[in-house]
Amino acid sequence: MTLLDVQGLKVHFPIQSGLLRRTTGHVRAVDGVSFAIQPGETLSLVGESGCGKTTTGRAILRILDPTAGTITYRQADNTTVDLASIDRAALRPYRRDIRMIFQDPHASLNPRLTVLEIIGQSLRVNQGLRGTALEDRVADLLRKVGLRPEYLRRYPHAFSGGERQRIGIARALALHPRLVVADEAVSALDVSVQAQTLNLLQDLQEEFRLTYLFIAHDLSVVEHISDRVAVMYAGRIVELAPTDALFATPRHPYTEALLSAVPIADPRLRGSRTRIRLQGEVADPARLPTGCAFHPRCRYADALCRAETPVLAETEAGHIAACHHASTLELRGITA
Amino acid sequence: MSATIAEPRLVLAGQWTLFWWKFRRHRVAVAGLGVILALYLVAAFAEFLAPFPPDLPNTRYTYAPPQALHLFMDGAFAPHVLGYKVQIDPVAMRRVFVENPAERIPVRFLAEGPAYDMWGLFPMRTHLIGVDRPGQPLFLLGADRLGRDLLSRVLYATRVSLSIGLVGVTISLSLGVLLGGLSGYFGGAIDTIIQRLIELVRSIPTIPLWMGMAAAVPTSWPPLRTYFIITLIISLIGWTSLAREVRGKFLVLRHEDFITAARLDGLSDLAIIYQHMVPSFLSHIIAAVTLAIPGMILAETALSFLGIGLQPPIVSWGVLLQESQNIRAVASAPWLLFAPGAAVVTAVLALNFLGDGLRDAADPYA
Amino acid sequence: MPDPLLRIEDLRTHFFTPEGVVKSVDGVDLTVTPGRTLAVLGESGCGKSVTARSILKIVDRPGRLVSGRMLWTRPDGSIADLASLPPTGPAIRAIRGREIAMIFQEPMTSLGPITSIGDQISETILLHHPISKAEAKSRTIAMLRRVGIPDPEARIAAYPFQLSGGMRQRAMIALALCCAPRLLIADEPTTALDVTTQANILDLMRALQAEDGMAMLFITHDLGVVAEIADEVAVMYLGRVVEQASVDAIFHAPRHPYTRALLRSIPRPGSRARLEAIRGSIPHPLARPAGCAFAPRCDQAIPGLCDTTPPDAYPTEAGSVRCHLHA
Ligand SMILES: Nc1ncnc2c1ncn2[C@@H]1O[C@H](COP(=O)(O)OP(=O)(O)OP(=O)(O)O)[C@@H](O)[C@H]1O
Ligand SMILES: Nc1ncnc2c1ncn2[C@@H]1O[C@H](COP(=O)(O)OP(=O)(O)OP(=O)(O)O)[C@@H](O)[C@H]1O
Ligand code: SF4
Ligand code: SF4
Ligand SMILES: [Mg+2]
Ligand SMILES: [Mg+2]
Repeated sequence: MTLLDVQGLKVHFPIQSGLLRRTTGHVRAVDGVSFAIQPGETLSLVGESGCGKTTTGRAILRILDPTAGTITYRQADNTTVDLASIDRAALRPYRRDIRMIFQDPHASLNPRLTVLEIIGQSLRVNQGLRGTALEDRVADLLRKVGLRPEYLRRYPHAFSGGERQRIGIARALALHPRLVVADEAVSALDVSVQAQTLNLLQDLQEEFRLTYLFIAHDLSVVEHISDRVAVMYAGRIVELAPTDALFATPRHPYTEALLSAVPIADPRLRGSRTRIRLQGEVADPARLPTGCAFHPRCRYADALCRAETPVLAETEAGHIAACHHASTLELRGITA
Repeated sequence: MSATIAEPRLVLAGQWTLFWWKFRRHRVAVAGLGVILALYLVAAFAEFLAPFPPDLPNTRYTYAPPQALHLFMDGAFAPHVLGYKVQIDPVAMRRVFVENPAERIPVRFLAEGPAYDMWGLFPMRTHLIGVDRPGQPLFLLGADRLGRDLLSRVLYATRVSLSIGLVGVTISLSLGVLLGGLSGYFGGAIDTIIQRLIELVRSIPTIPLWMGMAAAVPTSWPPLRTYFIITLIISLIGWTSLAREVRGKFLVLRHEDFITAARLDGLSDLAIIYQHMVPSFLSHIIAAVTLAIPGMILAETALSFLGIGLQPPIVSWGVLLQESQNIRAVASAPWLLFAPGAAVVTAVLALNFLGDGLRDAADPYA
Repeated sequence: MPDPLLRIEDLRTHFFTPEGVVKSVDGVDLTVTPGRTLAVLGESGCGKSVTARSILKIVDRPGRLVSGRMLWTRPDGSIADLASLPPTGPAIRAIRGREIAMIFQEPMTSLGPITSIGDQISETILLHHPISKAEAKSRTIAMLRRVGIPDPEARIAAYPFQLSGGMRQRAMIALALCCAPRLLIADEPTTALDVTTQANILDLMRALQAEDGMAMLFITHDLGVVAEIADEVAVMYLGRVVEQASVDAIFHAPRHPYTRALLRSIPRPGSRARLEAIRGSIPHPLARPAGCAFAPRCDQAIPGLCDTTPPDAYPTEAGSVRCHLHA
């Protein structure tokens, strides 16, 4: 029973120039992304900076309006709704179910409000909670994320980065969400704080049967937390597979290059791995190459790749990749 | 800040508390605040503080120099000033006033003096200081060409000059916040139009524009109307920088994560503006406003000094300076220039120091 | 062991803020050997950057070098104590940029925005070498080519904002290396970059070091990067080096409880087990615990003993540790 089914999602930003702001082109930040999330699982979205991860996450929450595509969300009573096409005003009930954790624990909390006001905001607006009822509920949430309830009246500046991120998590949990989009939720955190936060996210997932869309660029974190991983390149998903399969037997040359670039925290393995060094930059979403968007950097590219855009196809059960040569290439993963 | 702060004082400190703590460290700004508060108190109670009405002439004492205030007489506290003796300066062949040690004029506190209406409402006679009999000279800052007390005139002028700054800034602020807010919140075409308008206004050189507009004000208009028109003219320029500030803040804030979070929490646009955006830039606006007031005061002073701003009988610092603009005054009655000049310099410097301090404290989370 | 190139002893750099004295660097000992890479590892705020800036005497106000020695071996074999040189004097300026160069975390802060990268590099070369402009230009082009900037003849006219993050970082490296320094201090040179770009930059730095034989002081908080690039590792916690040892010893035989805890808290490839996080959080810089600074979070803390400052660690073959367990 799919919780969220994204099909053909596109988000294009107009490029405007001149005095009259004429549209001279489009940044195809997300250009036909499809995936489904099952209840209770963690699906990770990885890829280089600018490949469209954040834009995808924001489109699901309708912080941005999709240009095309459907986002089918299955409610608790089993009815489905297309979040991509409904009116902004009608979004409110779904914004209770789908919540977000932000990357920057400093920018995402208003420094002028107390913890009570920050976490209590959604409860106040959506459930009309006030006074002690609100305080009790927020104190409860603070305890859930491992902060002391006495911190209720403190301001964010009195907390460390890790603690602030917990406040952000508490805010996301306030309305008993079903799906949480975590956009680089641990990227800004120090190693030790990151470990605490990852543990907390996993505990909460177990306790509340949460489903995560986990956006990240740190592959070792992704490997640790996810059930399935989707690799994005230039606004598209190029490979999607269960975590172990993706890391052990990648089917897309870009995934292979990404995996080979991950530094491994063991000096004895230094030099033992094949390095694939990508030359050049991530494709510019305003000027995508013809054919396979990865071909200018791909060491297996041939004439076919330059001419035709590959589509996502299943290579094994549950493992899909968008590469003309996915089934013939012998690619290396990380074997633990 | 990388870690938990244990200090209870700090963890419970809200925006304004932090603002004040940070501001307090700026010694000069705190001093500026003191001076400004004092000046506005003077402006508010000018009638009471001034010994005489601003236009009360005393023809016996034209161009009388400042008197020294003596506090003690024969070892006892008895504030008094000395009367004047007229001598003829043999070289310049003109009358000069010298102190007359024989004539002691007692200075009374809370003295009954010329009648006035406090704030134009309550008829009163009590002045902070005064003399026993009408006509006795009390010219702590000297007298002008009609024998009017300069101290009283400067005190009344303070009210006019400072209120022009305040009223002007209020108008600028309303325009700036309205247009800047529209520009920043809606963006798109509205933003483009307002931005072009701002650029247009800013590209016109200020002084000639002011002069042109001020010169167009008919001299036959009643003083009060002139006052409002001049204030309006001055504020028509000031709003552009405030509008830019507000727009910039709106643009930045619109994309802040905490604003996005508030939207996801279900808050309406209006609630977001009031609960998140306005508090975020209020302190910046206060700082910008403080820094805009001295410009307004100077503009009024400049226009009046050139004779195209406020006209007598209204007294402002600029009008006083304008009146001191002749060879005779500069040569033999320099106090006419110094007193209002010092008032302008003090107010402008104090406001600038205060504004600098406020601007530094405006972002207590930086 | 070869003679050290730079020996830092008991370096203390404090910030005198209105709230109190922040002891950002409070007794750091480090030894850098020629031709090798010393990684300084530690969490945010532990004083890595301040240590690096102290070496070059570019600490921002209200920071001040309070005490300590930094013995730098000059090319002629003489030894200069950097700590005693005046921060703006000619002596340190002759060393800065020429003998010791630095790469900053944010390239835009050290690449001037209004001068082309070619001019910036040529100017630096001309500052330290009595050569002609044309010669400086050809050296600049050669340098840009070495750091892997394609078409350097054309790119010398580019301004920093016209380059991508990875290219900018390469230009930064070219600028730092153009005078063939004997020590390169790299302050988180890859933190802002993608993994793929990071891998390229790390390869580049390794290759350049192999060619030139310069020493590197590599600052990072990423254990993976340390494992890739370091020969020696110094682990910092709250302004002090708590352990210094070879990279293999740090990863396979860590001795200090903090180093061990740090290694346990990172996700291991292939393992989905719950991470062993360090409890608590880093204390506020103004509220430093007395005794061993790690004691409130240490599982092996010995009550009564760990409230006193651990003894100074004397370097042995296996490295040095500052902990009562290894006294
Ligand atoms: N509002 C916008 N207007 C125009 N272009 C945009 C806008 N937002 C994002 N983009 C562009 O869309 C592309 C995808 O951006 P996005 O933020 O989704 O990337 P990302 O994968 O999250 O990257 P990162 O890892 O750096 O966060 C980028 O090229 C970006 O420049
Ligand atoms: N200008 C300054 N004024 C006051 N304190 C400062 C200043 N610069 C640094 N500090 C303090 O010094 C300590 C160490 O800072 P430093 O920049 O060296 O940390 P770091 O280890 O480089 O961290 P990061 O990984 O975040 O770069 C911090 O607690 C910081 O608050
Ligand atoms: S389609 Fe061709 S260019 Fe694209 S990833 Fe596959 S092999 Fe490389
Ligand atoms: S000295 Fe004590 S508290 Fe500190 S690390 Fe060693 S065992 Fe732990
Ligand atoms: Mg992103
Ligand atoms: Mg640093």
